[in-house]
Amino acid sequence: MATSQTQLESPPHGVVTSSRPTSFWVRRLHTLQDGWASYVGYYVVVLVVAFLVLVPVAMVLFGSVWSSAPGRAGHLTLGHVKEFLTSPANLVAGRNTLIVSFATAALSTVFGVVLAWLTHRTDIPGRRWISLALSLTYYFPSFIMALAWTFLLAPRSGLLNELVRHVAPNWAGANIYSMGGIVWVMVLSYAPYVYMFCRGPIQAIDPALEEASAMSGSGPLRTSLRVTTPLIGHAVVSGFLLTFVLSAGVFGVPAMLGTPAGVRLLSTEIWANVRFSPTNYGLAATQAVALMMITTVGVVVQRYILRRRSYATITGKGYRPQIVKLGRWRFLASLLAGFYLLLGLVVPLAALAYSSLVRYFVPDPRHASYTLRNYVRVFQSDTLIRAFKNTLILSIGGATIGIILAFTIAYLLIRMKVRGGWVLETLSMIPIGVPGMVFGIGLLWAYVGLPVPIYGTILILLFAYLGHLLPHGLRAIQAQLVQLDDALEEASLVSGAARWYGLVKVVFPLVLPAFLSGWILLLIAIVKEISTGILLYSYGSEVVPIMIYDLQDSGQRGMAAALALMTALFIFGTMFAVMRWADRITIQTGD
Amino acid sequence: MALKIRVALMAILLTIGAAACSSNSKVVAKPPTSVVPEQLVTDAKGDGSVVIYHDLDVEAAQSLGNAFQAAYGVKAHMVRLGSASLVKRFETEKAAGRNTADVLVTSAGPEQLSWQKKGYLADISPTTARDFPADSKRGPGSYRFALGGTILMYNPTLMGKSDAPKSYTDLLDPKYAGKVALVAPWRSVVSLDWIWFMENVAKVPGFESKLKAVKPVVLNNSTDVVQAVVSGEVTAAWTVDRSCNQASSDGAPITCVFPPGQVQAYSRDVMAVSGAPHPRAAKLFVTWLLSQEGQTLFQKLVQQDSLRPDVPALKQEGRPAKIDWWVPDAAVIQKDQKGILARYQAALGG
Repeated sequence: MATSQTQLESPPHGVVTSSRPTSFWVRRLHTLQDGWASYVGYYVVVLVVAFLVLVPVAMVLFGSVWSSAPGRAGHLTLGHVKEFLTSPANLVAGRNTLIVSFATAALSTVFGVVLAWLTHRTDIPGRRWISLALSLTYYFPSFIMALAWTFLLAPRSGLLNELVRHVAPNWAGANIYSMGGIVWVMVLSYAPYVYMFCRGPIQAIDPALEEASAMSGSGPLRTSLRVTTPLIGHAVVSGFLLTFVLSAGVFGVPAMLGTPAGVRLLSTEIWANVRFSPTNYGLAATQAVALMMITTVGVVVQRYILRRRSYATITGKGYRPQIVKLGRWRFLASLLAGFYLLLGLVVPLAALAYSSLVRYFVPDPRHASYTLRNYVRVFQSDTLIRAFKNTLILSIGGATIGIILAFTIAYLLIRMKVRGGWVLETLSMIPIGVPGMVFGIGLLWAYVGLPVPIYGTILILLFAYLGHLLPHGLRAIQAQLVQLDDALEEASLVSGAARWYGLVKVVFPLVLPAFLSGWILLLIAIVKEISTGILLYSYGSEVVPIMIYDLQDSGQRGMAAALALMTALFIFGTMFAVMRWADRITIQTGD
Repeated sequence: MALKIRVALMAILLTIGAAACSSNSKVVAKPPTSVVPEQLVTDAKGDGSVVIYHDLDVEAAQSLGNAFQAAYGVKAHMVRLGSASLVKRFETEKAAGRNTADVLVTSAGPEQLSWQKKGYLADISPTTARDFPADSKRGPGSYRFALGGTILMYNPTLMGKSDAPKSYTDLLDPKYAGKVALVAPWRSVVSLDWIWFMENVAKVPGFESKLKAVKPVVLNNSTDVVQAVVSGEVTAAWTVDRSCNQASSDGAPITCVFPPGQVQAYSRDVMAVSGAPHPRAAKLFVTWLLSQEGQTLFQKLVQQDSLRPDVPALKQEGRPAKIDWWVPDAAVIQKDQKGILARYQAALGG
């Protein structure tokens, strides 16, 4: 992930240079062959991306200054902005969003970097398995993790609280329904994100620098702090900022853990203002604009830092990273990493399994009445069967369309180097700073009032997913495409082949692994996505992640646990298979 | 080892399959009676299916839908929503001209009045509605067909009978601080009505401040409330009788207590939607639901008393033979709705 990000950002904003100078005749050939058709294609893609990205953003901005509900007659007003700025509840929601995002980003960065360093730069036992498990945890949907932790740390009936009471009978109980509970679950969810972000740069550090430090008399800890840390500083700061941006837009975790305790965040306030009495669509849009402003600041700072970073340590020469020997501490370090995995993966899955297998949840498993009826009900429910089908259609269809779109964009930007490519690149990167909930409310405003029959169908969810998740696919493809030498395609062009022939026969086979991994990433991202669709789904367009939330929200927690467990196992199974496949490919190619 | 795992997996799958089959066949529908016109059945079959938005228990609603389908061959899609979610979903879809619901089965609140004014409901006259008391028709396209009560419940493994709350006002006793639960009034019309009842009918002095002082655990719905009492998260609660009775008959360790004096009732209404995608199937469903067969089955599955005179009243443990119901008037409560929500959201942290 981190490697991908590094490659994606380098060089910034589409000023992609070939690794070999392109000859005059080849450039001339490009011009003749590409001609107007390429530019028509480019503008079509720009229009498609603008439609997917700008329509929801524009509609959110419009909704924040429109006096009535979407599709209704009204007039321009600043009343919602005034209401937002003068209502203490909104300001509290904004403040809470900042606190939760900052705390999540800071703690996730600490844990993520430590885990990356331990698994890739030290000699702790079992680091290959720890690395694999951390990668799996990255794909564990955060709202499912939140659901699992409600079974573990509800103040009086949580399984872990009950366990502690066996030792300390007066234990009041840790309360997952709190701001601390939200941060706890988010850190467990996002530490693997930072880990994935930083492990590439940590592996890529030139050991000569650390050796020089060691030779100057510095110990391993001092070297790590004084040499290693500054070298991966840009990745750490980027990981921090992107985690901040992502956690600000999360809906499922604060909705499950914050709402029952009256902890308001902007994402849950938007949802409440749209879904419950008294509804206030204009205020919801204004809250969405405020949320977008917070995340945009994070993204802009992250991009600024990436542009200023130095590439000096990433050289062309091959080397193996220096492994720090921890001596007698290595087992303790391994235990610590294992403890994280226990809390972030094993214990939540066990809690879900237990809750899905009992008639009524009780904190002492010895007194529970066990049953399979929650699974039976899942398979008997028409709505859930439809949700399975819709999720399958949307994830496969969305991933396919998304990755083709991402490939087209990347090809236009990197291989064809179209004039004005920065417009397309900027458009494609806008969704990084737009939380899923904002996309959702934007599309609600866009389509509820229009005579286009999209609202209430899975098509509106498809548009939402494509727009919101576009950078995911682009990141996977761009990273691979930028590494391809122009000479390969030029050889095909010089031999008289059309550009499309070179594209199909030369470029595509070479980027196929990235294409497939990008496809899988998008597929999983859609299966996990809840914020984008929560305001858009309707009868007939239900999807599994939203149904999990809906089931727990309507009190069917046993069924929610059963469905959540099946979803988590599906995601883990898919990712495990993909990782094994990638390992085999790597071994076969010797890469 | 691998063989053992395979055998265990097969056993689990077979058990799930067998349970699914047995549960599917749990509700065997009786053939329709003559009160449902044959022509209506024929017309409804042309629609093929009907979409019902409801706020009932998932399994009870699914059984009800299965019975309807078995009787008439028309597929019933039962879409479960909380009462407040149902209102907003329906209103949003209607406003957008994209309504997918044909029928609503819910505890209709004040919103129902504005729906009638806006023409959101279809003015149908099912033949079976004639058997109900005259005031069951609440307006064009809307019929009240069942009543339930809001009651108290407690976990007998955590609290003795003498300590348990016996009346609504008992819940305000400081000894229950942090140990009682109720459904959020901003999530449930019934909860909103209860607050109005306590302030305006029971006239409990300082009800809002007393409720705030007792720091109740405020939950999304009555199922969550039951779960909280069963798990021991709270020891007692205010809830609706059907959720308590369903869980109690399902073996959950809870005791349901009908309060003395006036009991706040909540109605169950069925509404046909105007401009519905399946209007004829909608009319058939409403006609069937209001029939004796439909009401007997509904009462048995949902544990809520039918208002149809030829359906015998429910028999539940601890339920008084005669109950002094207080039935909320949506038109009156509507005027106070916003104020109540604002005050209690602030007081209870919603």
